Amino acid sequence: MTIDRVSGTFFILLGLFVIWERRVLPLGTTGNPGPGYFPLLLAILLILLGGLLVIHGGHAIALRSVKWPEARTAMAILGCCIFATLGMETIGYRVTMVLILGFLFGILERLKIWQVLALTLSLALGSFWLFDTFLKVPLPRGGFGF
Amino acid sequence: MEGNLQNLFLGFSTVFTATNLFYSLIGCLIGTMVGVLPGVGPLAGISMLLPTTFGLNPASAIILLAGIYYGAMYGGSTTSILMRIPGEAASVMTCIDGYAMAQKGRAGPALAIAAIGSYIAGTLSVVGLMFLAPPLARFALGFGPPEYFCLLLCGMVVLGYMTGGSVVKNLSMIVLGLLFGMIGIDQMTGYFRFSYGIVALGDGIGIVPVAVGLFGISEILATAGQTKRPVVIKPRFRDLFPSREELRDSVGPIGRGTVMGFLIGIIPGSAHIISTFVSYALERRISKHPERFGKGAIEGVAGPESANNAASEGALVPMLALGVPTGPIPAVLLAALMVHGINPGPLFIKEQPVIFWGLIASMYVGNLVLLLLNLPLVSIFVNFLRVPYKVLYPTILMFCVVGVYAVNSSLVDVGIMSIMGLLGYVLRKMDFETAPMVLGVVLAPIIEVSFRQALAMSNGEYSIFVQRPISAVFLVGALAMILLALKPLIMKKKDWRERLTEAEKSN
Amino acid sequence: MKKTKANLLLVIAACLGMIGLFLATAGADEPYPTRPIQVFVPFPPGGVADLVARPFAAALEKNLKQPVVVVNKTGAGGAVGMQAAAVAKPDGYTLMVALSSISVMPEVDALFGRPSTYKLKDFAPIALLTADPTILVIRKEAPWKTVADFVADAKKRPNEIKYASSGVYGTMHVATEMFAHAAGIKLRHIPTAGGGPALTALLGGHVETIAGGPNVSIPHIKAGTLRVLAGWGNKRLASLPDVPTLMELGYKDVEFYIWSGFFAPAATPAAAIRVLREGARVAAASPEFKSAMEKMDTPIQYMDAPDFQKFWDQDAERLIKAVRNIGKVQ
Repeated sequence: MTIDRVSGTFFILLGLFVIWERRVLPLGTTGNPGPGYFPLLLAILLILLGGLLVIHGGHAIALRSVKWPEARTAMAILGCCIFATLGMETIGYRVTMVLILGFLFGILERLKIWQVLALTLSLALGSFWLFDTFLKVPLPRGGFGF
Repeated sequence: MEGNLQNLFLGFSTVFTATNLFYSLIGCLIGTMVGVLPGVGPLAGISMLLPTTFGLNPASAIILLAGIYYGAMYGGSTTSILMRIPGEAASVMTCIDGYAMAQKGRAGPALAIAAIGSYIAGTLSVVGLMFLAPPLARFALGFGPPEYFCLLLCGMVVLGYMTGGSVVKNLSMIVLGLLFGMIGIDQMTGYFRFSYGIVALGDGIGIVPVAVGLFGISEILATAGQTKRPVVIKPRFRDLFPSREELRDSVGPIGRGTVMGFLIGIIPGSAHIISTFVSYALERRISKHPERFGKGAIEGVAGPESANNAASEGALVPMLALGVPTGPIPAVLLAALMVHGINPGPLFIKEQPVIFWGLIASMYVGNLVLLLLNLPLVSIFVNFLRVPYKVLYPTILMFCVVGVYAVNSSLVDVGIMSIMGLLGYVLRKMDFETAPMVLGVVLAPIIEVSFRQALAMSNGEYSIFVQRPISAVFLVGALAMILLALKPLIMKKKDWRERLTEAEKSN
Repeated sequence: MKKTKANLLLVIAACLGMIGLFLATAGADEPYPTRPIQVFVPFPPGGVADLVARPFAAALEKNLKQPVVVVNKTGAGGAVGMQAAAVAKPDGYTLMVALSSISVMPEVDALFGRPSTYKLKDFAPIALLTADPTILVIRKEAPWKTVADFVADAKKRPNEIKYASSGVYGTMHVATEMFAHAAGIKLRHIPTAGGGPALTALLGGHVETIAGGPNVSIPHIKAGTLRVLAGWGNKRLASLPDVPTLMELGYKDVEFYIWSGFFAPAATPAAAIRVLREGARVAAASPEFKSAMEKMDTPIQYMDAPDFQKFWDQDAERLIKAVRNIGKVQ
């Protein structure tokens, strides 16, 4: 099971998914291609390339040998991003940032408590001032009006 | 020539007033800042300041806004080189070799060459703008959908040379990017494609969340948790300046990048990022040591950075000469002029010499100001690398989130950025190069729409592509390049790229 | 020592008392508006809606004495911003400036059988601000001198004459199809990414005509590179007095305006709407707004809410009929 075979299979599956999903889009004719034309073409191309990867993938690195030492931290950081995506408009920019930065500095990186407080507050409030007040890009204020 | 010099004098006299110098400076400063902040680009900066320009006189207004525009092109390379995060979408290519140079302790020279290249490109482009604006603009107008399609086809073939590694893998990245670019409303028929009811996806996934996510977020995801942090060689003072060799190696890329960027920029509808990709690919193709690219080749910084500055000024050519916007940013600049009752059209240069030549003069001044601003700042920026990574990356993460959000006030963009970050992380583990995917996302809508528009124009006849001279030329060029690339396969000799990949592997 | 401490306590108590009184009275009065107001513009900065909304917001701010901030929420031809305004809290602090395309989108959604992102009923009209009719623009080299020439030529070669639009079901598309339907001709449609690219396509000779917005077309008309055959309004444009309207030429019911209007979510309290209507009336008449619009060659066509509602209903009917006639573009 090499990385090339895995990615090749993924591409084949993705190509098939696209073909399935695009069945609602009319194909049109070669003289007048419809919205489904190019996605179909690209999906077929992707499947072909994925197939090539699978076939020739024998001499790539084995999947097992790929190390993921930073995966846990990476997932935590990704979780923060998703938290921001889902929650920022509900609880407001500053609160979200304080929570995220506090989590990253305090729990993940284990900085001293006063460093965490100083960095979190200055970054969250500072960036809010920079964007909202100075550059006049409204940042969400959340349900509490803050 | 006489008349031009006289007008230039008029322009300089307009610029060298205290107010206009002030606005030029402010524009450059804000532009640099907006360029450095990831996600937020010149469009956002210009839109933010647009209302404040309503009260100024038109010359000052346009000087200020233009300053932001090309200033952002200077600033965008800073975060790209230091942290592999594109400061704004067009700086994606600088991330590759720029960051590699930074890791080798050559961040200073990279930043310096980026600034110098940007200055030369910017100034030469202004010269081009000054003398060649009307005829160039008319030429640019001749680019309709068929020409556009063939040009992009040519570009895609050139880009096959863009990065090393397996051809199949690069192609699949481009195709994947193209597929992602298909998401959104189909411009020709109004169908929603792959948007699953999320209205915000109607315009497709933007280039900014994709670039910041694929490069910036994935970089953070990959490096943050590593117990053995990559040792970043802290540069000494001597190391801040480019070596003579580096300067010499940069001359060619800067020159070629300028010309190419300018020409690509004048075409209405082209994105600046295309000029950076083409410049990178070209430099790699003609270099005697292509294996250095990706590992810190100065050409990979000099070329793209010059190209994107030249493209941004080239984009002003049709706008000023004919009143035709080449993209969203020139459109906003046009609007800024319209608000003052000035309607840029074919007679703009004749009727408003104060504004036109004032703008030209301000661009000379502005480019110089930016060079003088950015070079000393190199030493300050390089010190960012001294900040311990565990403090740095949450800060960068925050700026990425707020920057991407600020572009469209849309949390969907932040979501896309996160997903792209995850995708970029996994792809890197699987040994894929992510830059081609960004190109795919940018090109997909343009290529497809041009193709279908061309067919709509000809009512289904494919002959339109060869009937029109410009598009025929590009088509022949693309075919020639494909044949050249295939030649080794036919001749059963090892392709230079295969030799290259082998050389890389044995390293 | 004790005295100063007591004094200090007294001062603090007095301050607190005053603050409390202030808050109480402020809360009791509660005249709308008491906070900054957001105006969503579903189009990118520099576009028609944006250029009208910004001076209008500035003038409104003077009248309402609260900051009025324009927020561009772009996407999907305006659908993103319009949907955001439709579902916003109807407390009068989120409003919208939108263009005539607002009437078209739910109909297009219905055509494609997908749930509409908003309904026209979701919005309460407050004031009409501008109403520019589109104009039929051609290149100076084109052989047609009048609309009659154009129609005759189109009848001779159906589906040959090309026109560009700002997008499928966009303003330029619907306007042209409305005319084509009334004249009984078939034109070939080339959609582009927006008004700018459409104008570029015409200037480059890749298409033969567009139904353009007057303010961007007039500089080229004055310079002589483009000519105009007719306008879609019910009266002639002040800036182009020699140009006949299509209605004059006999094409009844062919009226199309790129209008911009000021809206609030439908459930906004009546008291707030009253204040907004009055504020809009004053703002639209203010010298700053007038001069801003004049500079942009966009005449002000102010209508208060009841007239605007009638205008909107009639216009929407016309647009919906035109969209149904177009049907699904293949």
